[in-house]
Amino acid sequence: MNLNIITYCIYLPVIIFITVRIGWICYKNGELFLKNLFKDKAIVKSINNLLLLGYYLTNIGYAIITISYWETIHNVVEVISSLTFTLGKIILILAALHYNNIFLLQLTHKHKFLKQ
Amino acid sequence: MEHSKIIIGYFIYLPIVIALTIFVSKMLFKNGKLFMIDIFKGKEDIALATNKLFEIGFYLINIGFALYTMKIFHYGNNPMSSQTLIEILSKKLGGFTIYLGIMLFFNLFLFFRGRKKSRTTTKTVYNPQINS
Repeated sequence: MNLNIITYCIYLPVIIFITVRIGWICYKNGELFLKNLFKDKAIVKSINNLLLLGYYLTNIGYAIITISYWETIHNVVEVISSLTFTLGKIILILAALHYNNIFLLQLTHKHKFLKQ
Repeated sequence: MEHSKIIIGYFIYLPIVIALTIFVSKMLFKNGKLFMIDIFKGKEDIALATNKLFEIGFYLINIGFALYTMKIFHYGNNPMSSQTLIEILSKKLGGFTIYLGIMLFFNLFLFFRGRKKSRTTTKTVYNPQINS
């Protein structure tokens, strides 16, 4: 058991937990905005489900793919530093996506509002 | 015995990939039924048949792609370490998962476009009848 494998074992549960948690929060709170955009209630639910699934697939896929580009780890200090660096990178990407989403929602919301 | 790690890799890769494809396509086409019924303006038999055909196409494309990219290349004489196996598998599985997500969004885009198109054609078809 070398240090790289231990790092992966810490990394994967943490990142999957963060991704699933954020996706779930956005799923719950985004439904209202989607209801605003579409009239049909049943279709809103299915769109929301599919968006959540696509979000999970792409983000967990990216989180898994970073493992293959991990540097070789020699001691415990490098375990911590590489772990925090990679986790921080992915969380920053999630934050950027999230703000982008909020911006788009606001834009479509305004557009709809002006149309009415 | 030098190829045993590669065989283990295949046995981990295949069930995960096939189960993921089946799960995603079940989810996608369970939720896509409503779109199909909307696109075909309530003709349920045609909508369900088209849905089934799209589902078969989704399976074919994705499982075909998964099998096509399965082969693990390993050069050198010394046997593969488990760290290398994990890294190769993560590359393959992560890449496939991202690909599947993009396919899902592409299908969703097709659903939206079909819905929009069927709505605009309804308007142009029915307007003369109302006017005449």
